[in-house]
Amino acid sequence: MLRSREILDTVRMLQEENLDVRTVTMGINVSDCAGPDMDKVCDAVYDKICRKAANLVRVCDDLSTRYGIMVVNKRLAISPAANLLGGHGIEDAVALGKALDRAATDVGVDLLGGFTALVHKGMIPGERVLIEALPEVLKQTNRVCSSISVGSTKAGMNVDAIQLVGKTILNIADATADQQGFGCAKLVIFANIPEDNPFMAGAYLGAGEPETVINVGVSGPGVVKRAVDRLVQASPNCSLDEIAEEVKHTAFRVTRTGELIGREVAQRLSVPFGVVDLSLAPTPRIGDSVGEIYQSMGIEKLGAPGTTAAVALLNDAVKKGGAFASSSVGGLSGAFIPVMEDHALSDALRDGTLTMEKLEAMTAVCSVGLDMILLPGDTTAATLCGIIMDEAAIGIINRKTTAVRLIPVPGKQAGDIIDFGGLFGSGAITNVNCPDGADRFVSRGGHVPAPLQSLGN
Amino acid sequence: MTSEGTRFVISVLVPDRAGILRDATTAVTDMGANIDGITQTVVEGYFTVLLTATFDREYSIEDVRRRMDRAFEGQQASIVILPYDSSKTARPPVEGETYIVTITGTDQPGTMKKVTTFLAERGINIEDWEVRWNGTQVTNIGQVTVPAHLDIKQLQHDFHHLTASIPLESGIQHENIFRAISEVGPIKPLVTRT
Repeated sequence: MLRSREILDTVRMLQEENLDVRTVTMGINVSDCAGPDMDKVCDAVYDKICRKAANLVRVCDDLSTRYGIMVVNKRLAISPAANLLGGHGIEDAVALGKALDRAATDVGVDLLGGFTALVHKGMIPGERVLIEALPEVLKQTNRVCSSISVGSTKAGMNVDAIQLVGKTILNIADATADQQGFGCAKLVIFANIPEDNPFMAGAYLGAGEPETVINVGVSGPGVVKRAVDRLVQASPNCSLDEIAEEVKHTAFRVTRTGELIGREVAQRLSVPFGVVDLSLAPTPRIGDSVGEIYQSMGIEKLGAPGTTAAVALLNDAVKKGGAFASSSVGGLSGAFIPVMEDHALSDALRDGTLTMEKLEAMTAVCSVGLDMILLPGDTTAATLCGIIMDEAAIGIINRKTTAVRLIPVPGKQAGDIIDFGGLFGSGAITNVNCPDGADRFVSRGGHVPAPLQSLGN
Repeated sequence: MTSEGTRFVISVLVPDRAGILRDATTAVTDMGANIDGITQTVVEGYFTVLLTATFDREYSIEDVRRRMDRAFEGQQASIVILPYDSSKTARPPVEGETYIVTITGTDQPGTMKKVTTFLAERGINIEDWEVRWNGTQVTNIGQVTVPAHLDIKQLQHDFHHLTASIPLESGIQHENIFRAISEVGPIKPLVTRT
């Protein structure tokens, strides 16, 4: 028998604290659609996606009604599109992107990930085509998201690929200049890319995954913040380990919500359940911010010394709670710090208490990386490459995922305010301290060898 | 021990104090009864216990009443004793699932009547119901069985429409979301088989 307190706690989490299932993401393998005729490839990909995902949105909506919890986004993640582009050209890649966009629209999902190239060790022709086609693909599509893996702990870092990616980001910004470079918000550059991440823009169906799979992303920064607030209110001098314990317990409860929804979606669609990814993914709404959690912990000014430790505490406690809640935890699972999507982080960056360099330090202990960073329009490719290399190095050395989502905004300067609307949020363009001076290092290209796995100090 | 003739349903309503359950259970146990069902609650300082007891000897209702009256003498107790009749308690099985009803807001006279009428008209059985007050704010928490043939989306819409007119906030959610969040244990058994 459920107790009244448990019921009321749950209702409060759902109604007042923005607990939701952030995404139910169906992974679909489309590698069997490859062929020499791109028209046929596009038809096959479109048909397969529409067949596999035909009922995804309806089932999610039914469960949303049944349980009274919002499934905010329904998404798709396909196997790497680059594998369909061998022997094809850029126009074919654009055609494929448009077919994917059409399929996503017709099945009613909001985003489709997997326009992906895994080039952390080397690059095959299809992957080069995919990267070079990105400016047009991200310009001509609305729902297609892309990711590129440029490094891993086992492979090291492919700097030649990063050079191509740096130039491509600028080309995407130019191609979508009329949207303030928004195309770049749909591209993530990874080190140690997870194969089962349900969150966008980086979701794709990795090698070793099933033919079709349901992965779920749950969020809930508002729930965690309110839990910390209640603890601090009841016990103003509570210690950090007490805060960690509170976060852990809250993460446990949130994770189980996601697993329930994910398993039931999978069961109703007769596909395997993959993972539940508990990531504190903020939205621009007040009360749904990761930055606010740090403030509740006692970091009055985000970026002040201690902020990185606060991120580490939160990230670790979330993982521990999630790991106890479910044996199917995967993806990124931790705390995101996407600046534009989090009003507290965005405000701190605008106010100057938080800097690009401090954010980089925070990414060493958060679950992802430099996410949704607005940059001046005159940022050079070398600067972008340097940022990507720094971030990849943090991930590679620390055996964790790091990612970069950089948005150079054409014609704009540091301090200008950009608003993408919706979940993408708004924010100020960030000043990169010392943007030049590493060009010779970056331009050497080649490969940064995989790091030693012992002597870990 | 379960002969129908010696089984009674007994309820006691009395101002709350320590020791009521002891007195009630002692009274029937000393008559050679085995208590085979019991629930109790307290509302606004009034305690009520409802129990079933099977006696090892033949007793009349009056025999049991005399003993219970003695146990609660001078306490303004209201005691009801009925012979247990399984033919009256058997309900036709209703295929359905357990949902949790929550209603919150400023207390309004007539809310319970409107809500329970709404549920009864649709064949929704109330398994458990609790109302809590905090000043003028009221919270209703109900556990109900929703017949399988009802469209849950339509039900939620109609219920929300009803409570909004009072006006109160409301929700009807499957119990498994509450169990998933509150319990420690594997999720798989909570997944509904379709």
